[in-house]
Amino acid sequence: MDSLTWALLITGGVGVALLVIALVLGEILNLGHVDADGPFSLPAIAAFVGGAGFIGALAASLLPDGITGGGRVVASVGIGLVGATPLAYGAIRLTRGLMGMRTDGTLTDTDLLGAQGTVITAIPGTGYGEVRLTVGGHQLKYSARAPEPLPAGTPVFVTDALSATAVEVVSTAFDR
Amino acid sequence: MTFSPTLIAIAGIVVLVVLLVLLILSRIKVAGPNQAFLVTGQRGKSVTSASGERSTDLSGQKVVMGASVFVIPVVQKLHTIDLSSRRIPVGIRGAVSKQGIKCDLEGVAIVKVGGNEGSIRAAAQRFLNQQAGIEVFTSEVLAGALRSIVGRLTIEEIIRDRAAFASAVAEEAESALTGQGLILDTFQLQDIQAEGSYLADLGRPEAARVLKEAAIAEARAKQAAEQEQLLAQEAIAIANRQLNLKQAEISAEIDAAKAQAAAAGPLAQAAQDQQVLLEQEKVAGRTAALKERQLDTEVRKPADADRYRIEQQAEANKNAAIFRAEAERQSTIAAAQATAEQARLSGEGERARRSALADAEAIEGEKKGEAERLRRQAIAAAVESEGAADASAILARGQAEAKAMDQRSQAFATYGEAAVLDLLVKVLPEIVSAASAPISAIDKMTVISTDGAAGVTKSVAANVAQGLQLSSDLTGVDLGKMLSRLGGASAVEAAGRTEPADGAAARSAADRDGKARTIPVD
Repeated sequence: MDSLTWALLITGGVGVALLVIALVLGEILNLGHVDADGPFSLPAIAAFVGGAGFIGALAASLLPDGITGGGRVVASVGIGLVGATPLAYGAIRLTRGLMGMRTDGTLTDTDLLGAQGTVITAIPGTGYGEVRLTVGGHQLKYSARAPEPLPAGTPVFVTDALSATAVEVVSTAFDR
Repeated sequence: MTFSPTLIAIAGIVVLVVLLVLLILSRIKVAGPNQAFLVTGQRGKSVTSASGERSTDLSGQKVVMGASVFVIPVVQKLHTIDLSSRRIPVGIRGAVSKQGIKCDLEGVAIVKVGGNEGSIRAAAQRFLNQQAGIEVFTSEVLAGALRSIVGRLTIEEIIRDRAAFASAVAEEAESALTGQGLILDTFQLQDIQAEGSYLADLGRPEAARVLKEAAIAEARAKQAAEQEQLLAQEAIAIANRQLNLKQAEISAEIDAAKAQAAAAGPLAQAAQDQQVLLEQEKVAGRTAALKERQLDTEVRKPADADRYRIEQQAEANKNAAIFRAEAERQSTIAAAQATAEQARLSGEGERARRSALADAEAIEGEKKGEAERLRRQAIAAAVESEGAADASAILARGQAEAKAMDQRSQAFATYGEAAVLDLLVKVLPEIVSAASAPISAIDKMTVISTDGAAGVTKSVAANVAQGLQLSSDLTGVDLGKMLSRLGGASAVEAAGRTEPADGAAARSAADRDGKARTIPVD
């Protein structure tokens, strides 16, 4: 095994070491104040370095013995860099894809509008009663106000979200 | 063992890819159900308001609940807010109610960070790094709110009207807590104590009423229980009576059945016996018939046959006898004739013989008579001489007796009354004995007399006297006089000597009579 191959393998090992350190130490490691989102993110850099090293070493070990000297070095490194580029790109794409992945939306006050529920504590003409609302599959209890007194058990419809915990409702009972 | 550079390089590439993927995936964070993530660090989107001003919204400050998020290291920062409920004790002292009564309250509030984006942002701004302080802050805020609530309600409403209390709490919480991103899940009073004995007095009428009703209910229940018990006992008694009646009925039936069963045996036995007897009777009848027939065949017919045979035999015998008798008669007649002839012949011979014999006997008799006459003459002479001797003897004795009598009568004549008296003295005891005989024959005598028992001896004496008088009248001899002249005792001895003369005279008379009888008649 010649020195060139060794050097390229070590380069690849550096890349692997970077990934291991990043995995183990996580966010603690700070590789400079660089925008990590994009081609200069740690996974991209590590993928590029490691990929270049290992792929170069692979090329060096497989090149015919006829190629020697500077030509051999150039050829090996070149193959390594070329081979490492799609690896780094793959890492960047993966990161980007995960950053934009879909998650459940967080409940906001505006989601309450139009929700339907039931009065669980009678709503007086002035002041708050309690209603249970079904919002996004959740059963949530809110303080509620209504333009007219509503007894417990009355089905209601939310017309306004007064605050994070209070809504304004109207009755949807038929016989009123 | 040595590795070729090619293999090492390939292995390195593989390891590199794996670690790369792991690193990237490790940047995905997943929020728990009780957690909310705030990811900060990204730049918000640019928004142009209606008035044309440009600003950035809050989209760079991402709120995530119960979901996963990719966090880019270094450029993004992840914050966690706990959405769990927090139990917050709330206590106030000396709160004044609507009626002006002071009271102490203790309650507990369940508070959590609100579950929507606005609440999480507000809470994150206030409590992100001091989440442990939520309890203290909230407790103080709620204490003030509670004091305000108590001031708006009467104590009865606080205790009884849950809706009113909840409404008041919601109103207070709305202003006090919602701004901080907290929501009040529930608020419950644990204890309320009023000044003095207000609360105790509130319950007293009800307690008294309840006590009264309890007592009434207890009494009624007791009454009902007693009544039910009595009814049950009555029912039991009735049931017992029915049971006893039924038992007695059953017992009677059983007894009847037993008796019937007991009788059934003998009845069946009797019926069977009767049947047997009938059969036996039939058998006996048959046997009798058989016997009869046997008798007929074995006895009567043979007897008849015998009888017939015997009759025939007898008839034959009779006839035979008749014939035989006839034959005998004829033979006898013949024989008699023969005998008569023979007798006539022999009679003539006998007559001749007898006449010879008679002649012989006549001669013999004459001789015998002569001898007898001579003998009897000798005997008569002997008796005649003997009689003459006896007669002379008797004559001699009679003469001697007659002589003695003569001498005795001479003695009587000589001695006179003395001899009579001697005789009388000998006879007198016999007379007295005879006179007293009737009295001695008396078994029981009652004497009615003025003289008493001496009358009896008097009557004996009277009888003797009457006897003497009677003999005097009959004989003409005055015995009384003779007795009264009982003076010359010398004459008595002479009377005793004349006695043998009388005996000799009697004997001579007897001898005469005896001589007359002893004269033989032949």
